[in-house]
Amino acid sequence: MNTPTAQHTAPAGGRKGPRRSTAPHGFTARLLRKKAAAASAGYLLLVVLVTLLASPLAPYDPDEQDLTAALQGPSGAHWLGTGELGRDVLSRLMHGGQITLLGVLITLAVYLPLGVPAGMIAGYKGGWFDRLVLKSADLISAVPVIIVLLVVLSVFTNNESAAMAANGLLGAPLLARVVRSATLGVKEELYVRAAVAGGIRDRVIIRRHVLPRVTGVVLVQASVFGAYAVLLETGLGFLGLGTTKASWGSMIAEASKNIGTDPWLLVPSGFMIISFILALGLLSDGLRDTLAERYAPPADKPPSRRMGRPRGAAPEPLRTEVPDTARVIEDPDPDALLSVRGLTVSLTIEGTPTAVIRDVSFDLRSGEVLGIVGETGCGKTITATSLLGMLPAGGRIASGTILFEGTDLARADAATMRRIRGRRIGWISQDPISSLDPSFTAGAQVAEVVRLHTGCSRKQARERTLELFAKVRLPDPGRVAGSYPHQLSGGMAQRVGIAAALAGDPALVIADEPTTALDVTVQAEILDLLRELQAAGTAVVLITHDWGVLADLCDRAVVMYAGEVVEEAEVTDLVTTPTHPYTAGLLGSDPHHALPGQPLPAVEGAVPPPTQWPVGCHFQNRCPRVTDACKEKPVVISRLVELERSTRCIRPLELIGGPAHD
Amino acid sequence: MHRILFRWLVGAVPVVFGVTVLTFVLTSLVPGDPGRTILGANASPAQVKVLDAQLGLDHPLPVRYWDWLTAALHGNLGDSITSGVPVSDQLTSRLGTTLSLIGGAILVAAVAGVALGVLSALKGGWLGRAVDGIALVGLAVPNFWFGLVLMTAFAVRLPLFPVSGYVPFTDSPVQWFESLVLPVLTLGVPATAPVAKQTRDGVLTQLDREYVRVLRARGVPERSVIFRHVLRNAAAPIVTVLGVVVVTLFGGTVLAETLFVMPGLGGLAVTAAQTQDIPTVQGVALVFTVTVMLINLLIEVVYAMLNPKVRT
Amino acid sequence: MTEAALLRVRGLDVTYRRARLRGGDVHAVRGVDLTVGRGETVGLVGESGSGKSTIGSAVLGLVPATGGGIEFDGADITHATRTDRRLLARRMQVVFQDPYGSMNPAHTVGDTLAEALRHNLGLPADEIHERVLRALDDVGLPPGAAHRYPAAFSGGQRQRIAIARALVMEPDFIVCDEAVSALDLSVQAQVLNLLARLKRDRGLSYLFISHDLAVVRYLSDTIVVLYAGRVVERGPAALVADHPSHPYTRALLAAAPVPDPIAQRRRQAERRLTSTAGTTSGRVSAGCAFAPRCPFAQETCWSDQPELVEHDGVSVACHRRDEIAAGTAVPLQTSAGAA
Repeated sequence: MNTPTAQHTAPAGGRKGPRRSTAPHGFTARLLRKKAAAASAGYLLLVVLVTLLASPLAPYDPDEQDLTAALQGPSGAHWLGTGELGRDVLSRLMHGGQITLLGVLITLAVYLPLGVPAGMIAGYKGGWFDRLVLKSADLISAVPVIIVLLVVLSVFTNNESAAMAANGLLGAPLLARVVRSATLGVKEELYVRAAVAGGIRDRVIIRRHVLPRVTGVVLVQASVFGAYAVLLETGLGFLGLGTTKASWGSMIAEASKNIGTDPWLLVPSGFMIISFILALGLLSDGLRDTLAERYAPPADKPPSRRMGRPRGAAPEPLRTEVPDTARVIEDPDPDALLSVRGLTVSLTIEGTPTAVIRDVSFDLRSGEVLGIVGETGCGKTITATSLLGMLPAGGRIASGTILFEGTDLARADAATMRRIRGRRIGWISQDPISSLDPSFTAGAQVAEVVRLHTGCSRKQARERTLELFAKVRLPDPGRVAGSYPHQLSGGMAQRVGIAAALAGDPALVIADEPTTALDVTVQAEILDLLRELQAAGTAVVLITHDWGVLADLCDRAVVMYAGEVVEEAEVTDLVTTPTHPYTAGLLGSDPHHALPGQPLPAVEGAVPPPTQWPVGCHFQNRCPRVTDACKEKPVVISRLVELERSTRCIRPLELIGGPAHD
Repeated sequence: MHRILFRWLVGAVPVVFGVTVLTFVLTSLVPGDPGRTILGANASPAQVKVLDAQLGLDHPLPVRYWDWLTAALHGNLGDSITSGVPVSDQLTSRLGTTLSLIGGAILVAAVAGVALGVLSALKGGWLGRAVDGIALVGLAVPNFWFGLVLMTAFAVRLPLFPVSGYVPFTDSPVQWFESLVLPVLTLGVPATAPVAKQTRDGVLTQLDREYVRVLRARGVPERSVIFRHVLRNAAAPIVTVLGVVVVTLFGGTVLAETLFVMPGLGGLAVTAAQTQDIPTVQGVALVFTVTVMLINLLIEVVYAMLNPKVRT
Repeated sequence: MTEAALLRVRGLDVTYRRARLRGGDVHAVRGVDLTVGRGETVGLVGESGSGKSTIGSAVLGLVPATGGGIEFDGADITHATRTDRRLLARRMQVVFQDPYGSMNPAHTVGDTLAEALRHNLGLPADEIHERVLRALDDVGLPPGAAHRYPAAFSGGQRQRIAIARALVMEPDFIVCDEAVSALDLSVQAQVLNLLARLKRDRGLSYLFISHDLAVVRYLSDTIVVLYAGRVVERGPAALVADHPSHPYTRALLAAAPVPDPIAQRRRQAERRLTSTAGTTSGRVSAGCAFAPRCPFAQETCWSDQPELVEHDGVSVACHRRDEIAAGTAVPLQTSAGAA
């Protein structure tokens, strides 16, 4: 039905060009490609087959006695030895499996048909049925199941089928609860809303969207519950409450009576139970992982930025390393507060160290605001995090210098970096609310940083915190200090974040898209605040994708494209006379410049990911002015004579006359 | 706090009620005749009938349930059919054993689970895989089998601990401790697995959060990031898992107490079930449910203390 | 325009039920009137919590209206059943903001596009195939895209696919709910151009919901500005976006920075004169919801809800509209500082 195709790969960037298909289908094939899951499935199948065929296969009758050979270890005649009365352990294991497997089957036969529909109806329809399902799940999860089963067994003496059916009955509401939340999750998906808006019937939506997602959850739950049923069934057998025939549980009971004389007996039955459950567990892990892959977020969604400390891994050759001859690196500017030169950072992508920013240089003077502007995937954030030595796991600075107040941060050790973070360089995050620890009040979090950097008393820290809150113009600082992050609005949370960034009185603040998550009127207030900060002498590096924010706050800016600085200039010069075609294109795309009824001068295509940077100019595939020379070798950034600006283009746009963009 | 208590009451009362109804209805299905069971096969039908009437068994089921419930609310759970001892006496004399066992096991599971989970999350690599492996095996090993292995190793082969039995704390604290070691490990070690797994997952999730990145960017030392912030935020779901573990431990006592021949409630339940001693079975079910409910309350309170969103 | 109205919303109320412990019911939308003519694009602007997306969802039937009415092409669809919606879907479609979440990752693009054709229209396979390819071509994607999964596409391409999914049904009306907000600038321009071209070529009508006044200004004929669930200003795009009347629209315009440092410096100075920051906080029960943030607020603003009144083609809900327009209304802060 499905044709399994090429492996999962990173997405291609451009619209055209070769793209390896990413095909999340062929579920069984994908599952069986996992070694542990495939081996488990094979083992379970083998156990089931051997158990079913116990009568023809077993070397002895399970109840055949041989009193002369009781309680003996493994031998040629009895591969797994003998138990009490000289009964063959192997044969009893094979036959005993039937009891256990039947128990699991009965349990699941009750568990699944009750739990799955109930959960789906509860999740999709809601209402009183939903509440009923949730209430019964609450009830069941508070009752020790084995006690209820003891009651059942005291009623139906030694009737294990009844006990296992009751077990399935008790488990069903719990399954329903899981299925319900899975269903609810799918129901909230935007693509289900799109289907509803498309006039698709509930029946079809359930079949096409809900069932496939829920099936996986059900398979996982069923295998977990199956494992639990094995434990329960053998437990009842061990207690002697189950059947009187040979079973895995009763064999352990038999072993328990003889541990003084023949502890070996514990091994075969124990191994059977443990290996069987283990195989079920591994199979369900495999199922879960295979499903997660199928519904994984798209590969080009920005990956979570996990902060790790830089690893001291041995330098390996980088993908798309710049030849040394192509680099023209000026010496750092000794007058600048921050002077970055030839910074190249690599991350591990698909197992290969890959340059993600390359040959980045810029300067920042005290009290200046420098903007870094560009689109997603251009390396703005990586540049900023490398300044603080907080690259994601697997990231390292491959070359270049970051001279800050006389220290080269690119080569600084961990202790030096810790002294600089927060105290000399502050950080303002993109996502105000989640940048605060949800378990502490705003005041406590800022006070913690104040104490860390000033070493003052708790009381002084509290006072200083209120001062800082007043400084960032939080109304009612006392009340905000006592509030938890979830009680704050985005704008207030961002003010708290700025207060924390100022706690160490840093010379430089790095703000990573500080207003992107905020409403435009709140954004204006935060920008005002940052401007006050600058007026008070703090230098700011502002990362943004918004030309308006850049124009509002920044003196100078660097434009980044696909890991490189393509242009650096005063903001006024940059927006009035861009020299790099990308700068011009990005400016032209801004809807502020748009005239209704006329097409926006859009740049076709998309930013290529680091694995697909071309030789030569990174912008060549999208550039309207491209020539063959642009594709030959990496383009160096060059200073425009007598102007305070530089550009990385061999055919820069004219500075005088002519529109900025064609 | 009042809100938590109120919500708990609203949830707990129907559960206890539901469980008692369930056990009562189920036990009313027992074939045979309690009067016959008590008096033995030689009694005349008339004698049996008289006794049944004394036991109130000639009334319809709802009436019998009402009688049982009103008596139970006054602490009278009836007499054991097999021994004739009041069920409530049996329960109170055995509760200490079971609570000692469960308390010890949950302590082992919490301490070892959290420690293992944190270690594996921070160190990663082989330790992380080891915790994953232990978690998987921990779920697969039947605790009665594990108990037998412990017994063979540390009571039979190396006689460090008693093979079976239980010494009350009031008799001898040392012997109390020794008698508990193996049963507690039997229940506690497998229960470590889910706690360790939740801790590991929770710590890893928190380490991925934006606030951790920002704390590091502010120069907060790693020690403080982990123990002050990350663990604090990972704690609430761990508490929830501990709650689930406690419920399964109550089930586990049935096996462990039988295995180690301990005079607890679980062992009592097994014997009662085997001998169809219905009032005792009902009593044990009631005590277990009420205890689980009280533990749930405790967990709700701790959870609210850990989670400002619930609290405020 | 009103004669040929395609969509007409009258006095729409949407209330989300919520437990009293968590703050009680939420009035997301209150008494909203708006009209979308044939071939017209109406832009809905507002900040988070203004109710703009809720209006879109109510029109699509994804949330129930608790009051008022919605008419589509003369038919009342306020309480349309799922069966009515099946028919409506042939004319009314949607493009959501999130190009990641709006497609089932386990279905191919072709399957996603074909879903409504197969399960709603019940078309034969060859016609479905043809329509899917045509829709992909319309949005500038190659035919091969049909066989791939959403994960193989970039954000901009996925948004094109989402538009193609709307187009296959050959609708005359599309709700665009923040359809370009998640996109990077250069890709956003591509998608805006695509939407503008489709509108021109096919006479499509859009209800275009966005928080970005510049984007709305580019694409819309009429702009409707929402604040706290109510319409505060409505009129031709050029008038509303370039010469706003309502103090909130003015604040919105003043707050959005323009990509020109010199102009922006001038605007900063102007904005400080009409700044809305932190004048008063608190909720209003009776009067204008914007009063606490409004520099022109006077007593009546706190007590009476202003009606939406039309004047010179622009409807504004403000007690002091005329004074503000004439420049006789003095903002609170300037009275102290500007002299």
